[in-house]
Amino acid sequence: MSARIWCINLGLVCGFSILISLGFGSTNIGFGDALAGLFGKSSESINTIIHSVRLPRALIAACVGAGLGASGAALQGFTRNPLAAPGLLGFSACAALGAVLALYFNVSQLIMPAAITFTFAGAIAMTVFARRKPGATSLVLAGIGIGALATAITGLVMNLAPNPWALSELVYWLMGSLKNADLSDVMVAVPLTFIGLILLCLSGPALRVLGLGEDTAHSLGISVSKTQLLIVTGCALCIGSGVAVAGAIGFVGLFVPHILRFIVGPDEAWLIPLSALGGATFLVIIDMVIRLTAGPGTPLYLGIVTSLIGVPFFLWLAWRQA
Amino acid sequence: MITLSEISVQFDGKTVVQDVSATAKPGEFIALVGPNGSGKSSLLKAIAGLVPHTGSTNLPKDHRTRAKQLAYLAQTVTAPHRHLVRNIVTLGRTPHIGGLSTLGERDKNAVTMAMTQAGVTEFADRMFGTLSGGEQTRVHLARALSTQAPLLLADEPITALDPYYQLSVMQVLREAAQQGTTVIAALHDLSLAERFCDRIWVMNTGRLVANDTSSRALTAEILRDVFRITPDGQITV
Repeated sequence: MSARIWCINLGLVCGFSILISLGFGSTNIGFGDALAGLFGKSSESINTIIHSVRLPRALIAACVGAGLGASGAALQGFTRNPLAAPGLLGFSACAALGAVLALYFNVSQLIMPAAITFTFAGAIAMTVFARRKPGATSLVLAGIGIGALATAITGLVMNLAPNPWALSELVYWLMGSLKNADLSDVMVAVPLTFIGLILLCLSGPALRVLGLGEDTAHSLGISVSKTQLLIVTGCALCIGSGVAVAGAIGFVGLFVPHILRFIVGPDEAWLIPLSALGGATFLVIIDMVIRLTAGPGTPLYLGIVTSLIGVPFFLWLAWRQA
Repeated sequence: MITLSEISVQFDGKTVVQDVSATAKPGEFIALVGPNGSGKSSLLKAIAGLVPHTGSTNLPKDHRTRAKQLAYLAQTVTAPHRHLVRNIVTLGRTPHIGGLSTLGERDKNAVTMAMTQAGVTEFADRMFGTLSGGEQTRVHLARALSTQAPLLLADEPITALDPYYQLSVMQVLREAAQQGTTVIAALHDLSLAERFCDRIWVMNTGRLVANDTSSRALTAEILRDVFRITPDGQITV
């Protein structure tokens, strides 16, 4: 099956998962009623639940998953390093720092702008540190360094939390969840992620050539620094807006591109849109499972579930590489 | 005609190539020889525009335009292991096609011709990682040829290869030159350089110390002063 067909199929699967996920939640709504509610043809309460709770939540899940998947694919392609992912290279850590600061200073309406600002600040810092010789090695080192710094400052903020409740709010937020996603989040996160995805997809053809090494790619007319700028900006848009809405969600960006590379093939240009669709589908389904299995008490946090599934894969990958 | 005027390259304040001026005619196969660290790779990289340098060449200044005028074969050839040979060779057409556009008839013909020239047609549909080192070098040679650039720079293309592949790569480069391409290849094997190349450029500590036809460049003095060997294959102490 060609990559194009895979893209279409994954797109359909993603769309279906979003539709199906509308049928699951704390209020018992039949699947038919939920679909009717989507088009405003159900009872008023069902219409409201679908439009202002379930659809935004599913769309945010798809948007965050798409951003993580595409970022991971682009970073792995650019660094030619199988372990590169937005989590490893500090994008997620910077976004989380911004959001945690907003929470710490009790201005939760600023979570989104703070997360995006800090992701961009981190991205700029990475670009500056990797400036002397743009390329894989510099970006990985700069990214890991900036990420470690952001994680340390996040720890410091938690350390300084005035009371246990404030601390627990920060900790829970970092675990990642979609339970507070609403329509206003959709209006901001979806367009930003969309622009980010376009930038990442545009880097695809250059990534194909970069597979031959940076010198060879440069001799073929590819600008390593422009490609790096495209990818860093794309990742910052996707991850900044994603983390702002959903918290830190681990490992999706690492293992979704790997699975798709294994199944579909190694073409970096196609892997980016494919990983976007794959990541979106994965998060929509995982969030649906979380809602399905929710009993009384605290529901599972999305970031925990994705990591619980992601870490065994990560270990398998490390074992296979060895 | 490729003209180099006073090319110098510095790394961290250390001069590795100093004031190299030379010309290379179309169809000329030039061997760039010299001891390790004499600046062969750096000179090739400077010509290809891969490292900052002073001095000038008559190649286009614009990065993308220059990419059509020269093909560069790096010292270590690499490619994602699961990529098909055909797709790797096709990447040589990158300078001629826009980022998102597709291959035209001319591009496809160039790829087919390059694969035939470099002798990789029989494994066009195999994955790069399944090939031997010699085969991988020839795949990259095909990739470089598919650009159809008037200048081909090859950085030690045969150093890691067995005698069969050394000869076969030299033959492919020789044929490319016969078809009008200027080929400049960094080499360590002086006898292959004399046998296959029209001209030999000898480098020593960053300078071009000899530039003559193959039969005349490697004098006893050059061998002694630059390579620390004698014409009958002994090392000078």
